[in-house]
Amino acid sequence: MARILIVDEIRLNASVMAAVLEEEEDLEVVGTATTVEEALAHAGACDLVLVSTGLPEGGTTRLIAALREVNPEVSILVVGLAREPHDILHHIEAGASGYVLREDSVEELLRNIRAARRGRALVSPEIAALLMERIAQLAELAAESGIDLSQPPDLTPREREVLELIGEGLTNQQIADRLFIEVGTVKNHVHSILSKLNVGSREEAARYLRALEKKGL
Amino acid sequence: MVASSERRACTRVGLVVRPRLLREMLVRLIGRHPRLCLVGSVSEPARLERVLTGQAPQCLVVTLDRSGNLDEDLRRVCRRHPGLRLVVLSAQGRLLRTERGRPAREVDTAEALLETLCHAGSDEDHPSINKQEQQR
Repeated sequence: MARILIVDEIRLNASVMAAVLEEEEDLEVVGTATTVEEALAHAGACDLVLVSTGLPEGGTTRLIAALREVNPEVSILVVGLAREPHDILHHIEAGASGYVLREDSVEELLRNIRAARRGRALVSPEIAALLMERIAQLAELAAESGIDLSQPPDLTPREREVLELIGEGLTNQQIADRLFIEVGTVKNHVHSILSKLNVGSREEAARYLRALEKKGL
Repeated sequence: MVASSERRACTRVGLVVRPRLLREMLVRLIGRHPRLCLVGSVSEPARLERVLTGQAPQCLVVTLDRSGNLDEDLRRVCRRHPGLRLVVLSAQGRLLRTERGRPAREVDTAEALLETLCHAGSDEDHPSINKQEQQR
């Protein structure tokens, strides 16, 4: 049974969608919300969130980021008009698991929900082409920056641990305190990490880490 | 006997609703409601004749056009069918206005919308509307 939260700035839309989804045997609507704050109150209780693109003041991307933080396992499907194809990429890059067009059918919505619960994404050929184009752009950027994402870096478990703490924005002293090691030892690890990743700063290393995480490495 | 009274109680509803997802969801909700009878569903007011022919609707659920106005085709239909009641949804889906002659009121749940549609077919529930319509 998938537990679903519906977020739409217009309560009637959310309520209509809830009434329809509740008819499905394998779906349970655990709540509806019209704001980011309301949605986050339900975030722990759901497996899948349907989010409208119309939340005011960039609310949709804010909510996606916040949901990823609070409940990393949650699937997020964005529901929108997508006047521009790049709107779709924008939300996927923010962390959405998929995108459902308001011009899609109810059957297509249901297929997308069930696919998202299985960790899959259904995309149209147009969106697939856009995604490929974006991957090619990112690969080009990575190559220009000297970052090789094709192979996972050969970091030791301790270096990986230090890299993750760098990613959290911790200083060498804070990392040392967290891992119960000397600051000098942390500095050695940081030096080794920068060298293995072929990057020049902690910020670049943190970016590299985020790229690795996105690739699931 | 029961079937006959049920038929009388059923409000005939037509939909002129965009986008498709909202329209199909309303089709499902209205279709399974015991006091509502869906007589047609289209995306564009220009195709409204399809809904109006045959079993004429008592009530139309419509969305506004992109500029937030009632489409001219809809205005024409309203002039031709003064007894037809409109439930107008904003472009985003929010209910803006119920039946002709009644003050705007906000309906923010599916249940309230369906209840509004049920009443739209019941003359007894809206004597003020009947009076206005009879005066025309």
